[in-house]
Amino acid sequence: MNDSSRRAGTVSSMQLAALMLFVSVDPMVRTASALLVRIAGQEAWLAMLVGLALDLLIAAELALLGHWYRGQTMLEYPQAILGRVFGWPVGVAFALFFAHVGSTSLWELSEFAGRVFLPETPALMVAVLIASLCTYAAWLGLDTFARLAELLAPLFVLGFVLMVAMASPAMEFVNLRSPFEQGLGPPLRAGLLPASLLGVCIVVGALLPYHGDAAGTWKAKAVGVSAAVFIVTITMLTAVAMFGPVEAGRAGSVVMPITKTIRLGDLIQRLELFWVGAWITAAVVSLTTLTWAAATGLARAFGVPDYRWLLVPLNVLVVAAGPLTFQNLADLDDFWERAYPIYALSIEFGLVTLLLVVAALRRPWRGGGGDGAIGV
Amino acid sequence: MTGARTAARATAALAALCAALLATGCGSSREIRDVSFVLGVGVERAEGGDYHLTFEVANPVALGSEGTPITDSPVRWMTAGGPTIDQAVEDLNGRLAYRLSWAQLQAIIVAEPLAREGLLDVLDYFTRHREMRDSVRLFVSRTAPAEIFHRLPALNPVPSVALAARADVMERRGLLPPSDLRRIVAAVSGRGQQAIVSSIAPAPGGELAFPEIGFLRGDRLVGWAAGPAADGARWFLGRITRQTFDLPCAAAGPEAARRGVSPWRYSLTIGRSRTAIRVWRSGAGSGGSPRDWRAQVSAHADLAVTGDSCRTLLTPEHFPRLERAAADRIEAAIQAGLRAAREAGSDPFGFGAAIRRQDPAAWREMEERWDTTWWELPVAVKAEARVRRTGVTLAPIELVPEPGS
Repeated sequence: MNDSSRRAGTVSSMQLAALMLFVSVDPMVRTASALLVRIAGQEAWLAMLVGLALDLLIAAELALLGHWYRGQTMLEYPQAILGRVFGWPVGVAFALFFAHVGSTSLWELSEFAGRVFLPETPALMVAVLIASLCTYAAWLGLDTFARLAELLAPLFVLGFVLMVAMASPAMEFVNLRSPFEQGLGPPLRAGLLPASLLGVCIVVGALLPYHGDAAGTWKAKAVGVSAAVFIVTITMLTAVAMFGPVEAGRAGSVVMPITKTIRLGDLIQRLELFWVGAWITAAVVSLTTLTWAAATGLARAFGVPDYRWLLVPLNVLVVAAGPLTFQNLADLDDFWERAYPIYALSIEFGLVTLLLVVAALRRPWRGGGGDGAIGV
Repeated sequence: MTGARTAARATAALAALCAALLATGCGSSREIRDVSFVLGVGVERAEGGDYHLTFEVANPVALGSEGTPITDSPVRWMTAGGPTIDQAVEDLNGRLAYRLSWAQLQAIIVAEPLAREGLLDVLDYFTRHREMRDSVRLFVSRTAPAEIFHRLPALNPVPSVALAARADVMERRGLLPPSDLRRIVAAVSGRGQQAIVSSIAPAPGGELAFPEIGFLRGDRLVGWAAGPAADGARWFLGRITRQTFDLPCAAAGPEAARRGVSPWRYSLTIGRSRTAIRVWRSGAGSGGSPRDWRAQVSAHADLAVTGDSCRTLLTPEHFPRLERAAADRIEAAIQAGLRAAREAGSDPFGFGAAIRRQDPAAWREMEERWDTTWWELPVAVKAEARVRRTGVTLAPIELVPEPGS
């Protein structure tokens, strides 16, 4: 996508918040939340707060960079900051990171769907179907899938609130005690996982010029991420209150056992399929946003006139990377728990901080022409 | 240009339609006519050490044929065996025209010897299976599970469904410990509290009863509570409601005893109840031993008088005496439940969990030997009962004295 086709106001604040909600909630609410309960027990909420705090720090850094380099995406201003030789690979690294996170999340969803609902359907088939849908949505453009996100987000949030309300009779709040039983270490360490997953929202740096209002962008991001943190936290606490920290952490997903338990008379029961719908919704919007951001970044880096040309090959790679990287779900769990936080935070926090520091050092400290000197 | 765009859109729409075919579940679909729904399953150990499973399988023809006279039984019983539960299931699958489906499973009945050996295999298989409902009930039977299944038709043509419905009602009244699979597993893997299970046994008249409460240590059944001890164990659940009991007229004092002639009694119904466990450090010791702690079980019951053949409840002074007598009855039951659990060497009521919540560091010192030392914990029991309702009549029925009485 070139500059002429980019216009401020393509996405509204509400749409941006909805996109951030889906990007940050997927895949956390699916399997990472169970991992979090396994590590931090009833203090998983604290891990979420640690994650949110780190995410806000990254958001502040991005806000500053976005303010200094108005009109440029985070895939573009690395070249303005670090120069072409060093900036180009950084921009490409961001783009590939988005594609890789999308790929890992897609494969995890496909494996999970196969394990729970479609045991005889190859996970690859599920991945191909979802990736095709995302390719088409990204092809139609940011405004199209942002509208879709805006329509689905309220239903998504409402669905989770209703789920918790319906599960409340089975909760035993004594399971949430005692606070800090294992000390502060485990929840603080576990906080790296939500921080790295919420950190994917640095993708907002690629959307900023399409929103136009820098301050509004960060508010929308904060709203979206906070909603995601709220959803994931109440879901985890509900699962812990219902089953205790040990059993809630044993489940492949904290949402599944909750939905399996909900029974309103003989009328409403076995709501698992409803939640599969919610997960697929979150995954489709999230993957579309990430692949769109990756495709636009790579198009600019390699001088491709239209990002759409890259969508199909990129999504082929996104689908193929999953089965090539992970042998099974245990492999994937291990990746989320051990490797992903370090890997992701080194990009989300490390690279962004590096850009900010270099930009600050290169920025003229006095005089009014700072923006013009290094920005747009 | 417009034609090309229309063609592109038509192609995209066609691709989306084709892709939608993948979402129909063709890869994993099973027609309902090709499935045998298991409604209940009994698990026991056969003589050779293999698992022996008894399946109650729905007979859909008899269950759902409208307008056709039903002469067949709506369920059928089958058995299978194998070294693991999965292999036993496959043994039956190999002999059936249709594959077994667990999606409608209502009850699992485990034979007592297997429960004493350990429930881990059973719990693991049935919670791991993707089709399983978490609301599936698990009971332990002193007799062979097949015998239980064969006794059930007196209740309902679809026995396991009736069993689950009855268990549901009794659980809500606090008369049955939580028997659903997920909560049993949560208790088995919980820290500081052992799981409890309910027994199931044939009762006179072709019905079923849940007469005893079984105490587990880890995944193994280690003892039973019956009669007052089982009542006491139920009090710890803290949710007893609509349970009735009676007290002799003498419970309300000498005047009531004089007016009430055997077998006249007060009839009482528990409207609402709650039980709480409180633990605190005694002040002596490091806190790393049960002896360094004190515990108190407090039970409270709101009662309704549903019968007063002693004819005394118009006068206020009778109420406190009656309430004290009811509280004494509750305290005795709780003490009996406590004794039964201690004798079994299990802590199903969560004294350990209460200490863990209060002082995690002290709990870590005690955790490993808690099962064998928790009986050293001094426990005081205090019950309180309040008569909240006496029915809609203001005065007891006054009898005209018989001449010469």
